[in-house]
Amino acid sequence: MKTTAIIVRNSFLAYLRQISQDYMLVAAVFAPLLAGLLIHFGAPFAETLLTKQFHKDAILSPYYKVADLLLAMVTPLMIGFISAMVMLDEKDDRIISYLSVTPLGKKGYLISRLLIPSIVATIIGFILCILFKISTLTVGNLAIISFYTALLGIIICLFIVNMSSNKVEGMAIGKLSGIMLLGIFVPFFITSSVQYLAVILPSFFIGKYVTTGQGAWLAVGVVITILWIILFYRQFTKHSFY
Amino acid sequence: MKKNSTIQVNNVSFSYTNRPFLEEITFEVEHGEIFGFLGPSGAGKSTLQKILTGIIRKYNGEAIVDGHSTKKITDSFYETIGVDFEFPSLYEKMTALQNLMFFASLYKNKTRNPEKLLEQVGLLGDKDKKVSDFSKGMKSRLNFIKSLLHDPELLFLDEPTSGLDPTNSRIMKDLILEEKKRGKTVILTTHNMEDATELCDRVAFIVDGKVKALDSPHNLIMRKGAVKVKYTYMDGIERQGECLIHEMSKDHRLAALMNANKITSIHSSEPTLNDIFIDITGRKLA
Repeated sequence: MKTTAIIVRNSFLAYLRQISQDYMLVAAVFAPLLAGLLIHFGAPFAETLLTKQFHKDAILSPYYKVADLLLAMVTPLMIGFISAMVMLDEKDDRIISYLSVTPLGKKGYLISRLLIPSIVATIIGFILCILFKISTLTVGNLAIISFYTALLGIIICLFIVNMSSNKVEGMAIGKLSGIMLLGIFVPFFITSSVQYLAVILPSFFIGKYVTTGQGAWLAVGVVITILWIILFYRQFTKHSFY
Repeated sequence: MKKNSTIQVNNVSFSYTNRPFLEEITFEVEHGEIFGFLGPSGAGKSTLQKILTGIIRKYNGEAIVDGHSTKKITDSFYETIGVDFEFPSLYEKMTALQNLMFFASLYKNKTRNPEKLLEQVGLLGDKDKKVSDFSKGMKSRLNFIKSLLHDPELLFLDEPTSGLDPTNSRIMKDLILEEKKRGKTVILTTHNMEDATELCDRVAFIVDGKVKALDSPHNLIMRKGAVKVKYTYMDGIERQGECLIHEMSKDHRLAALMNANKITSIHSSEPTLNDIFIDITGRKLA
């Protein structure tokens, strides 16, 4: 007899199969690796060229932490986007409501489409950050940031699924969801209290954590992120399981 | 509550908005019976099915299915019921067999052989074809056997013959009757009166969220009265007469016309379930 864990695993394997059947999603899987290579090799190379050209000591290097934060965001963003595309396909095929009347249930479905991919995003994101980081962020910092950005991946996934009625709309909304990342830049470039207008964006708190070094900002960010997840989750269950 | 009941519904009410949608629905379904919900679109049939299958859990009253209150069911409840939604819910990019293998992998209990099920509905030759290449009838048949994979005791079928041609509709109805023979209980939601008359042991007429009548199709039809005999005859011009079938011998005009070989046509007309539905509810099915 199968256990619930095996049923959830089978559902996750179906998720992987759907990714493998879609070239766009396969390409999206490799996007974080390409971003890592670009940041790791491209940014220092560009810095050398720019500092020579403009005769300055540093132009890009003061912002290497921003580049590393973007690198930390790419994996969860892409996995969130991939999950959203798979879920929109399943919504189109009326699979989501059917799975809720199988032993997999709503919880099992969400574990296999949101939780497991997020755990994968945390691990892969963390490894890529360690391999390709260009700033002085420590391994401990990167671990915390990778966990936090995986939560942002869940928000992005649910945002795309809730806002779109099909995959084509989902791709457009996916691009729009990049707005959520703008919060990272705010604490680096806006030093006045105007920056606090960005607290609505969960990504703001990673930027704030990195610029101030205070873990409290991250704790507040986790709370706000979880509130966003609860809001989007409720909206999702209300519309997708019936 | 009857001892043999698989489903007991007591005073179930539900609303999507402030206005009541289902009102004080009460009925029981016995083990091994085919029970039909009949009613026009938007009457509340599918909503009632969603309550019975645990998709909707916030409602008033009590709905007990296979001994479980549908307000408190766990995911293991779905090992015992099979659901066939009105529209196919299949992975279009996967083949028929891949679909069945995947859905079978979601059940803890032993499942039926998917290839045998495909053979039963004439789809074995198409098992490696992608579902996106299937016709509507093929998808409906595949969707139906998907609900049989785990050999459920209780089947919920929502408009299983909707939009099917007569051949596919016949295949589907034979499959439903086959499941009844195997001792399964079937809840059938439909607005097709012919299907209901042929398949159901009992039917409930649902209109505006209320059960307007509940009985066997035969008993409901008998409420309308006996079969009528209509005849035409020549009397200068063609005229028409009618009488009840059990009063034919009392119709002296009919006897005289028959003796004189003046009858030009004669036929009986039985009331249909549709007539009864219109009689009781004042509504047409559409």
